[in-house]
Amino acid sequence: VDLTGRLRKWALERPRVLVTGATGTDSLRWAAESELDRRGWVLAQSPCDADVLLILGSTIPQLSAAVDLVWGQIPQPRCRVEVIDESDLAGQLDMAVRALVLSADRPESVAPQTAHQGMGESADVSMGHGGHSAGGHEQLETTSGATDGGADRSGHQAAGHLNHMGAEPEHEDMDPSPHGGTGGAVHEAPGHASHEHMGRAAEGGSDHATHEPMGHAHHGRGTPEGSDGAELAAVDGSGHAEGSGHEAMSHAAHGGEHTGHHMHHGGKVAGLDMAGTGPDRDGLQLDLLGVSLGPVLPGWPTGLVLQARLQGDVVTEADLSWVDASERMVHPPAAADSRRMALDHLAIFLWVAGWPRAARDARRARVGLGSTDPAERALAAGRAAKVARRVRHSRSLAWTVRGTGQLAGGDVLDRIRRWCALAAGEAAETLPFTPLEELASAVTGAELGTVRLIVASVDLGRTAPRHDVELAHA
Amino acid sequence: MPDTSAAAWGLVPAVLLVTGFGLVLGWLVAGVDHALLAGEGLRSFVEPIRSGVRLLLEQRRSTLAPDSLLWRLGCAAVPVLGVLSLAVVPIGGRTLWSTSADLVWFNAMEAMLWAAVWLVGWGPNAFHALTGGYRFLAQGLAYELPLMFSLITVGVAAGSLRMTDIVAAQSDLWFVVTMPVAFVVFVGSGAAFAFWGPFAAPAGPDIAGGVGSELSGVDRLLLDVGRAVFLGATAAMAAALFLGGGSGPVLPGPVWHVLKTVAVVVTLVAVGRRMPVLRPDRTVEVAWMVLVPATLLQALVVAILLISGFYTS
Repeated sequence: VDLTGRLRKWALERPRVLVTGATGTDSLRWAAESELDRRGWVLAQSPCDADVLLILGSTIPQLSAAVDLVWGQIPQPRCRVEVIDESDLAGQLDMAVRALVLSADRPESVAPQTAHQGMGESADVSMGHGGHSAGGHEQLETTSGATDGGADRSGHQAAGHLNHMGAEPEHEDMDPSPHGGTGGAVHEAPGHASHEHMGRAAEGGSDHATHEPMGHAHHGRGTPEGSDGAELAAVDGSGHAEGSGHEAMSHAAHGGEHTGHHMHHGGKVAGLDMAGTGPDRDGLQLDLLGVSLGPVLPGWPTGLVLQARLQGDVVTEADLSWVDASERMVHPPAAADSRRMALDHLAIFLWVAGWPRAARDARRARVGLGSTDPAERALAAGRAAKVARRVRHSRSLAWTVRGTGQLAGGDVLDRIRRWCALAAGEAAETLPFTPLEELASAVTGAELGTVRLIVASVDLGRTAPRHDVELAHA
Repeated sequence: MPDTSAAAWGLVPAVLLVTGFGLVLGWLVAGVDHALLAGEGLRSFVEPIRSGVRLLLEQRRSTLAPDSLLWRLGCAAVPVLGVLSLAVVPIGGRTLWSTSADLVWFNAMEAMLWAAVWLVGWGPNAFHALTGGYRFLAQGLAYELPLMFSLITVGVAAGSLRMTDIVAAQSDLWFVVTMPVAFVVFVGSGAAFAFWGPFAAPAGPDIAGGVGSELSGVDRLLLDVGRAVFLGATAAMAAALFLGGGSGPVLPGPVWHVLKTVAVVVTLVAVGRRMPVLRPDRTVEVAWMVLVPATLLQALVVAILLISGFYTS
């Protein structure tokens, strides 16, 4: 084995992971996160930051479109792992590292700066031109560079894919990669076209950020929120809205709009509309930007989509919806699980709040509490109490979040302290579920980071799998 | 002509030495940070290197309609500025170069960091990155003045802005004794400029990594290295400005300076990781309402001490 190969293998042994899972995969996610913690793999903050995309459970069609989009933004070498049950989790992750090394070993997959293939100049590209090399050029390089080398190699046609997005299982048709064992399949980078560029390249779209994924949504299911989102985007334009994984979110919007009916207005830059303006809270005319967050975003409830208008980083209008259903399903956790649920909420909140040490401690306690070994459980209970005490008594946390996100149950700090009390095993009543409308009004007027803290602090009451609702919608 | 390392060892070796020292400092910061976050002990010092190699293997990603030139320029400028700020930090008893305004040089590198980080946020044409850039501008503006006042306080006491004079002026008493506020503010502002720890809002997870949200491969590596080098440079500078630099018994001066730098790094990381990222509007408020008056008061106290002959006796 050559030195370079070994160095490469060593370097990729600890990839950064973006975890996403459908609603109802909490226990699988817990198992996955504890395995990642055990290995010292770090959770990625954005697709750009990730090496491995870990998909938990069987994703529903609406979500898989967003997942594909996120996948398209992950730089190579990269690897996509789908895990259905936790029994083979470790094996799948080992496989992921091997696939990563393989993907790095193939020079064509990491050297995308090849011939300019002229993608993105016409709307045609978005349909039926699956084989171009998206990754290369600086000018219009929109993707993480799936140098899929053409349809001939990958056997993947974009149009075909768009059309069957809703119904097919995941990508089985186009990946020549080694498939995993029982739990799922490891998909490897080369040969998998990134879908992101298709939408972006579609020059006629009223707004690229909301446009691209719609292809999926439209062909897949169509969503009730469609018209709202379309309107929002049409008014604002969202020139800057592409980013890490956010465009993924907009895929709920727009169901109805995308074929043939494109809005042309205002100036355009690189096919994107310029932002409009509106009066801000001080009465000045400021740019209004249409931005959406979700449904796949680290530290964010999977499936939740925030359609917002921003002035600077202040949300002036907010609309929240679930990508996969119009109504939420309330499913209170079993009493035995309420401590672990509270720790899970804490872990996510602390991660979003930029306190990775405390977040890790909360995750560790959460794992231990689920153990069958009583000694282990006792130890974990101690850990849970410790992390709860630390968070509850943190003056810096109190100082930084106090007064934000006023809802029926108090502000963000009150809710976090309640989670702490639950996590410590004290007899505290659980938090009431927060309806999306209430949450939307609480985040309006808040700054983007505060919005994230507020969303992470509430219980949205969705722990049940969604398949039944799914079928009803289909 | 003062004795600079460029004059003593030749320009190229001296520059290489300073660059190497900067990278080692950055590695130290990243290693200590990882040790605290992951609790892996000495193995933690391998991880920054592993992560660096991983990023070198990674594809550079771009976005739709980026401002590529300014974006890449910003990424490259961050570590370069970090290393340049080390040019006035004494290494082995000598600074790379020496002017009558070394402190101003250090401050200027920080001011240029504003531009560099802003460009990193501006370049990719993406709103999370842009939000990070805005946050950094506000933070830089707010922490520039406290940092400047704490530097000036040192200059007042030493009667010179030259680093070698400042270190020499502490031969009897470390400046930290009479200017603890300036010391704490200096180190804290350094963390704010490296947007690290509680000041990491410009790169916070709440905005998907902010200025770094669209960075991959070598670009991300440059930003990460730059931040770590800058934090390390701040620690080394703090050791020289407030902790007497190389002064100490038995051991040779450079060893003392390194030991003090390590102590500052470890303390800084240990304190910084005990709390969440502070919301930028709150930290900015503190800078203007608390730190600016506090550093001004500190300067006043030092000025009175100077006039009363405290530093010359």
